[in-house]
Amino acid sequence: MMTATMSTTMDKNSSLQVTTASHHPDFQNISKLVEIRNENYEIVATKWISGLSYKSPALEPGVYVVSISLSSGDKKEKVVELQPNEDKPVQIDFSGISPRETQEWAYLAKNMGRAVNKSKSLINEIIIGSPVAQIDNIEAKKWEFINSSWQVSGVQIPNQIGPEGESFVLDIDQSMQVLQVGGGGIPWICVCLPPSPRLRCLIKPSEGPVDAVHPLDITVSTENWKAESLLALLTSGSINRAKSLMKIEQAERLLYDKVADPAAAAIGGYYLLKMSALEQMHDWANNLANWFQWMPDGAIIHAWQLLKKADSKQEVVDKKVRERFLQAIQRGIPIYTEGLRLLYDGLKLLSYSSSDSDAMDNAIKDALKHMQAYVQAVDWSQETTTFIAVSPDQPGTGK
Amino acid sequence: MTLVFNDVKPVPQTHVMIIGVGGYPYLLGGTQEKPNQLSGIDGLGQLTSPPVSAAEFYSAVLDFHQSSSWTRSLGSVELLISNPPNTNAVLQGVQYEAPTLNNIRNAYHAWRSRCDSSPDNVAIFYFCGHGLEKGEHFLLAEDFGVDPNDPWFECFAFDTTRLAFHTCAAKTQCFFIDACRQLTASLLTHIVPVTPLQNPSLRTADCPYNLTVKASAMNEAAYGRKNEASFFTKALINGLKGDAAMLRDGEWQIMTSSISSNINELLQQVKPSEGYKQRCISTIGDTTQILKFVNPPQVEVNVYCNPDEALSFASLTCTNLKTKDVQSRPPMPDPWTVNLPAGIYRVEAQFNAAPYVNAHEHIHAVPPVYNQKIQCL
Repeated sequence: MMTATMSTTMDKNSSLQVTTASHHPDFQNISKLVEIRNENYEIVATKWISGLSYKSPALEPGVYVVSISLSSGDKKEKVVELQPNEDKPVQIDFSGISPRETQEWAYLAKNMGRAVNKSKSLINEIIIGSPVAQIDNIEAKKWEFINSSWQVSGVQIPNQIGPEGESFVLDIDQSMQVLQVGGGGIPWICVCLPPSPRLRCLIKPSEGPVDAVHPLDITVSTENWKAESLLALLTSGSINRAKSLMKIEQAERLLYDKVADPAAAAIGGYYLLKMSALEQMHDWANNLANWFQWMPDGAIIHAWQLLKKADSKQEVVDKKVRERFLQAIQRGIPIYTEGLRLLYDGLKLLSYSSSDSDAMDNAIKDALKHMQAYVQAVDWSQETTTFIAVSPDQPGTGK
Repeated sequence: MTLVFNDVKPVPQTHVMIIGVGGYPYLLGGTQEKPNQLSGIDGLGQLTSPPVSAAEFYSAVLDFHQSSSWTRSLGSVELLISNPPNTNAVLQGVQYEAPTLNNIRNAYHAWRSRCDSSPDNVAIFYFCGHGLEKGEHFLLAEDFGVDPNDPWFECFAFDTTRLAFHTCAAKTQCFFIDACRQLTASLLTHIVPVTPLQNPSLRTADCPYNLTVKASAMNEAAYGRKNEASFFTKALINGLKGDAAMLRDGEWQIMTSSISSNINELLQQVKPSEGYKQRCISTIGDTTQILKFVNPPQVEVNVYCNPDEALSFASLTCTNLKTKDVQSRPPMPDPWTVNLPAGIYRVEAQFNAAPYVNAHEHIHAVPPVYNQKIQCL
């Protein structure tokens, strides 16, 4: 018995020193999932890291698969042989992922409507998408929803968008704001902007199906990389990974920290709703809705928290839910696509509920009609609400 | 009779409803075509892919039953299929019914009632056929257009139906909708009544494990080759059969999130040469297991040598590091294609004489295809 124990202990005398590399300093902060499998195909280590390196626990000599997955869906891996008493360095390099260093954040952290490389060998890759060309005479505008009307101002962006795209930073204060890009024969497209003093934006030609998606793909991100990674995973349906990235109590913390970062609080709120972690939302969704009256998302999250909770005071709840959904409409457009879906579904439910009574609630009927135009114009694959429109209040008409 | 499989037991089970609408008698090319009266329906006609798609999905459902792969054993299958004129029935010996709106409605309520019997049931709904979208995804039943004065009556509002189904007790609800979502010219000029198969209520909270996957994005089409299962259905079946499997707790599992996170990649794999014309849109809640497999999924492994000429002199082997199973091939001029269970392998090329040198690589073979080139100089 003692011999066997000693043998086991002695066997586990090796380790893997995994380092990840990329050009841009943001990579240091972007979440990465490290997984190590042994010869028996068992996962012997798994961890989300935000730094650049990871040291495995003590391992037996053998063959291991070391993989790094990103919230963008990209994954790279190496198969390595580990010798006795070896502390083996394994470097996994993501520096080639983006055509430009300044755009790496988007390729590393965000879904961009492109085919990602989950392939395990170079000749396994499938080239997908049409060759992208330069798009000229592009203009941009920034819209702000002030006193129930949209006010427009100019934004300086390069007027040529080459195949690699152009990236820039916007200072977005806490108000309902939309970036609109178009011109040059291209339909205008609007993207809702989360507040951030350094909101990253990348505009590039789309890699999606020609004539089906808008010619431009616009990606935006705050610098709260963990919340942004969670949003990317939720949008791509990678719920397992989302759950391993962020425990319920961490999402609870995002919602709690709404004053510091209301956009991240909304992401946390949507995640908690998805996980039906209603108790962990406390009264903070209510606070998010009350304290950030410019933001539709807080009102939507609170309405759904109420809807999902069984409550004996049904009429009171229904009245509040109705109030919250109508508030969301009055505040503009949900920043996140998940919010738009929940708002539309919520209004539909209310419309059926009210149609049971004598007459359908006219305010709900109008709100539903108002939202239908957005629902028809929105790109549901995007994380932030993105829709074709000549102005934010005229969805569906891009030219 | 739409209930083609009935093994309902007083335990949590998987209940499936499958609809494949290919024959539309009142639309273009139909047996009772009303071209003049239905001129506003934008040239919608017969479809050869949906019956094949529905049949293949049904066969996959039964395969999973026979291999005991359903996490919750298969309890029932409702099957409604219509073929376009002059085509053979897709499933010999199976008595399914036509997917008229009335039959769909009746089957839906029977299926829903079975799903409602336990919160641990798994509900699976599959539709393949014509679809249109205008603020709501309308799915067209076989008898669409029977009344030219009100052609929009024989379709149902899927999105609202989906919302309504959340009231069902089954905590796991999977809906796969293989249909177009385009806004047509006639839709712009018509007010289409939103008629779901069931009305939702305000007390409808999302079920915990919701997976709703649509084969196309808003205003986009779903594609397939004539007389074959559609691209989406092929991708979905491949995913369910193991291409989307993940190893957890010693089992190969299909989770609801395995489908949502992989469906677009699976779609590209079934039609890589046709570009990237179709995008699936998924809505998902929390994730749960729906299928499990004892054995790993199969991977097509292609082994090449560099330079290519070395293949003619290379004795190739693939050794599974876990099972120690060895596959081998004598020297031949073509690359070696071998189907292997997913896993970690040592791939080796051995030579009897110069100039080539013995070489090996370790690979992590995962579905559906893995290519490996061995450097032999």
